[in-house]
Amino acid sequence: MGYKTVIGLEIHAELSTETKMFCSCTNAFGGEANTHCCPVCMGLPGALPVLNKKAVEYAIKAGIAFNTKINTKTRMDRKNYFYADLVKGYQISQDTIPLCGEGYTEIEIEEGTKRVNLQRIHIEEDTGKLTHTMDGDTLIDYNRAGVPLIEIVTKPDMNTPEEARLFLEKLRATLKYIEVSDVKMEEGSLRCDVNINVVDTETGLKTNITEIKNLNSFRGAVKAMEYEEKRHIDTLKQGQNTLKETRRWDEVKGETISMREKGDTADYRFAADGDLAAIEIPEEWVNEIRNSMPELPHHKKERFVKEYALSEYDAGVLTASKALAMFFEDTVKLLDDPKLVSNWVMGDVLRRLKDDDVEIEDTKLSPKDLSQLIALVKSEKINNNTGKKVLKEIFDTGKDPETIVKEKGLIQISDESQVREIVEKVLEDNKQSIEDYKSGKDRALGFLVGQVMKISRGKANPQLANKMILDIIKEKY
Amino acid sequence: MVTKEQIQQIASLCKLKYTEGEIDEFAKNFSQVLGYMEKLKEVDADNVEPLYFISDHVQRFREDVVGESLQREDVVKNTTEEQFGYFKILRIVE
Repeated sequence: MGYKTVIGLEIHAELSTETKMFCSCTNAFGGEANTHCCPVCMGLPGALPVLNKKAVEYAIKAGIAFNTKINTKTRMDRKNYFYADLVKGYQISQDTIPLCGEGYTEIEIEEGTKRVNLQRIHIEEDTGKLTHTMDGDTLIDYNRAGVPLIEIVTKPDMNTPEEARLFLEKLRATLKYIEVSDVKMEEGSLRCDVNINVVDTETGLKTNITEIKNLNSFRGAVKAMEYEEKRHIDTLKQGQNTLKETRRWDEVKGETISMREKGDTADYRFAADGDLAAIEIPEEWVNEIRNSMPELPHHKKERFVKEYALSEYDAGVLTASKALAMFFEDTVKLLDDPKLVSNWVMGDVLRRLKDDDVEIEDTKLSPKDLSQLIALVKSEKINNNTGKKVLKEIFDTGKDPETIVKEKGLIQISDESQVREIVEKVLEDNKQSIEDYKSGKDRALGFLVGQVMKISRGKANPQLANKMILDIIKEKY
Repeated sequence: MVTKEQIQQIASLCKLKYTEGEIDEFAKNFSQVLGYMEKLKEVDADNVEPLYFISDHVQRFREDVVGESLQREDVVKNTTEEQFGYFKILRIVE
């Protein structure tokens, strides 16, 4: 028996404008509670919202990046519900005419390229933040109330949690590339809800859709989807059906927990917001935004393959982050050897970024440093291993490679007489290894080279040392 | 016809409570108003653009420039309970 999983996603991303959606309060993250508030975002009587042009522009940018149709005539609607995170009793959102209509993006799965279609992207305001205390109270901070959001709704086009993860990665990279959102899940600037169910491919029986909320990391989202996928299949196997309900992911328990049953769908009584006039988006404005769009990740990747003769894989890794791609290109400008630069960036640089969990722009390494370092290795002034040590030193201290090499006396010894002196001493002290080598144990040679490196404190040119050991053994032993 | 159940549903969405008598009265009035609105359906509006706003003004945009916010004392001034600058309410989990 086969089962097909069906996944759709709803993603909220906070737009990184300077001010809120409808008022001029700052859109800075955090701040002391209730200090970014004014009569508009507090919903005080008589206050009138005015739409932030930048927020609309950012949403259109996202719409263009995801190939959506931009609706040039749209409006804001009121979504009514009562909850304390909402000051007015309604959220200003968009109902039947979203700013951006249907669109799509592509993800790379094992079988090739897969298209994920989008239902819509609309703009809306964020709500206040509730903190539930141990004493059974709830504390409310309205700094976030009125922060501009885009809600991106996909069609149910993903069929595995892995596909959903790839889509989320693509979405995050894209929003970051076009600089409309910080996309930091830990700060809540990117939030994701999942709709998931399972179809029995033989009988056509479907489980009811579960909505999973409160996912605050991609890893959590994937685990929650995997958990739900299994739960739905198990339910079908038992000849039963799942409830149409909302569940939340419990990271600690590693399971989803029912929040509420969706007996009757919530009635939000959408109505046009009369405080805001009809919105008209001039065609020229959309074209202007379209022309000012930065290069998107997949275009950049194609260009890297063509321009720098990199593999698809390497180009993919280097362009996954805009900052890293820029760092790579800036380094290549200073040192015209794309393959070599790519090897350094993809190897030791990326490893360091991963270990420290930072982005390249947050480190002390500059393209100039890296290009100098690679030049030192390329010209054999220092050997590869020393190069790695120098790189670590740059990350730690921010000093430039030439200075580090000079200060630490790391210049490679390529002077034959100097290396010969060391090699002769090592051979003198390790007669057994010479015998071992002669009787066919190749590892003994490695040991001898190692000794030379050790005595020279890593500065000897290893190729030279290797050659010299062989020469001297032949001559003398 | 608007039923009593529908009135009750709307009232509960608005978090309002009414007596049986009031609900009967609302059901009757709502039915009358909606019945009157039904008349509009007799007009042929197939080729008429829907009207959402009475005014024909188009939304003017605001430039993205930070202005002054309220002082926190003023933000929380009218609340019954405040703690550490937060609004404090009884815990209600959605």
